[in-house]
Amino acid sequence: MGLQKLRILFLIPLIGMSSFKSKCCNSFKFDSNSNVILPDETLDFIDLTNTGNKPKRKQQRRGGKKSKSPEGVKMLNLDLFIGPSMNLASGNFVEFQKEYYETGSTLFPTEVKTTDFYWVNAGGQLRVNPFLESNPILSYLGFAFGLNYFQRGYASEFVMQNLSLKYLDQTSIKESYRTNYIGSSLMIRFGNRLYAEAGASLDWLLFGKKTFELSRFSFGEESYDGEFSTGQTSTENLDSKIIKSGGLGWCFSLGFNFTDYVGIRAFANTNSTFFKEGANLTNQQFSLQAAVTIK
Amino acid sequence: MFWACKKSEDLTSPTILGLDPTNNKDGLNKVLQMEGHFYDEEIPKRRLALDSVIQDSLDKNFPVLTLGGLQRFVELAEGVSLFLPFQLFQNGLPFILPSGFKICNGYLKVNSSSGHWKVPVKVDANGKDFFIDVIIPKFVREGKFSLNYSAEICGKFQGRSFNFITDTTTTNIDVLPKIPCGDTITGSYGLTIRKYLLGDKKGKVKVSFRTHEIGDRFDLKYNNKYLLSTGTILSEGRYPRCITPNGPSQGFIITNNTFKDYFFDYDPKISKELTFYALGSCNDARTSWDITISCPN
Repeated sequence: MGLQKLRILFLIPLIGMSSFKSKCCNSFKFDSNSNVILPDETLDFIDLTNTGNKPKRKQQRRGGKKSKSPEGVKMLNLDLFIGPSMNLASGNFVEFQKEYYETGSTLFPTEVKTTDFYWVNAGGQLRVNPFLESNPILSYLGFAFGLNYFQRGYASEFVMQNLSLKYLDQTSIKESYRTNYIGSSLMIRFGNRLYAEAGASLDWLLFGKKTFELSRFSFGEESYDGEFSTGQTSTENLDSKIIKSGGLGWCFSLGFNFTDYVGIRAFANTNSTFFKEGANLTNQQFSLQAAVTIK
Repeated sequence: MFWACKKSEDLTSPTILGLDPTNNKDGLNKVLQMEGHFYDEEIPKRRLALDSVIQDSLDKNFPVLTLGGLQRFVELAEGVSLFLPFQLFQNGLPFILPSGFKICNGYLKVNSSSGHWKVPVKVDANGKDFFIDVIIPKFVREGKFSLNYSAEICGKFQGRSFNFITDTTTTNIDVLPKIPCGDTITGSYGLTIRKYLLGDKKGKVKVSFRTHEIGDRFDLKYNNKYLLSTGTILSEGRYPRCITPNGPSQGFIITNNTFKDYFFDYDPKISKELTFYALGSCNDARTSWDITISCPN
């Protein structure tokens, strides 16, 4: 906190004026009421004795009228985010896969269900607030160019039984498509302590894998040559020949900064293309992230 | 063999869906649907066991049996029941099991996979024709693979319990997509089992079958029942074969390049799929046939 200069123009009532005058009266002037009028130099001296510091003159801002920018906001900021994410998939592919696996035969009843898919979303963005000192409302407006890493895809489980047999013979398959992306986004932010962002993202495929996990068993006294249990897992690579890379999606967020540097953000990303050909998936990602801002 | 032309990719199916039979042989081996027990071991090799003791070598008086009358090449759609027929042969001649002997088990696996199945073997009433019934599941993608199989014969031999396992034999399988109604497909030697998709409209369906100078056989199955045939309509659980108990199978017709038409009533509420079995000449690999199944009218 800087020192504040006190301009004091005060009239000191004279108590023991004779002793005061004997020391310094030749330096003072008196008003009509016999009050001492202290010169500027003495006021400076009083300031010095009161504060021990040389008083400073009050500084004047140059230029036009002074505007009020949001507290703690700089022109250029670097935001970093990390947090768990959940991927939800929908679209033609979900229904198509169910039909693909369902046998339609009463001897081979099947059940297909979607399973949950969790991962992490991490990234950063360079945020610019170009209107910081020009307009009180526009000073809350910023533009962010970001990169973030996330996974996208779909997972499901299929169970089939062979009812033509006198014992239980069950086949289970878990099929999952997991693809890793870097999203490059351009977002518009509005707000400071509490803020909202919206924008577009081009999502670039890094690599992906399809996992096919099979288990098969028989159960029951009439099992042929006794009960058995077996399983197998295989993987296939998913590359840009099968999975679309560079697809355009939309992203949104709502955030709150506890301090100028730390906050939380709820982030959502949606993209309606996944496979390059055929029935497609729409992926919606939701992530709750810890946010750190470097100014 | 002349393989039927592959239909262009189904545009609603990403190519990655399901199980790849070409690159995932182990997975394919374990999803074959049939009655049986899966063992995570190598398929048994040819061997003789007497009183449960495996013999180091076969007795010179012991008849060495092999499998014959096989279906070497099969084209099929996923989700169909594939039968693997065989007979027993000794020195190239049909062998009839003596009284007290039977085929007690079959052994089956996908070529180049690990593990094998021990399965029951079905037998015709005449006791000469055997087959293993297996279903290739619906989620198996298009692709090629081979099935290896053998038979185990059990009984009493000179007062001792007897188990003999034959050498394995091979049938080549090609999984192909379902055919939309109105398309024509061409085939040749061997067995072709394909499915046609007929859609949602009820009506009369025309089936046109053409052979050339060499006879071929055709059977049509709808709602799991044989409906049409160029020979005698088969009963449930039977399959078109080259050899029957009475000799070479009948129903191999020669149409001299003209289409022979058959008709039946289609109702999508009963079933939307049609399965046809085309058996190319058993004796001449130069044979060729065509089939067209129209959309319901």
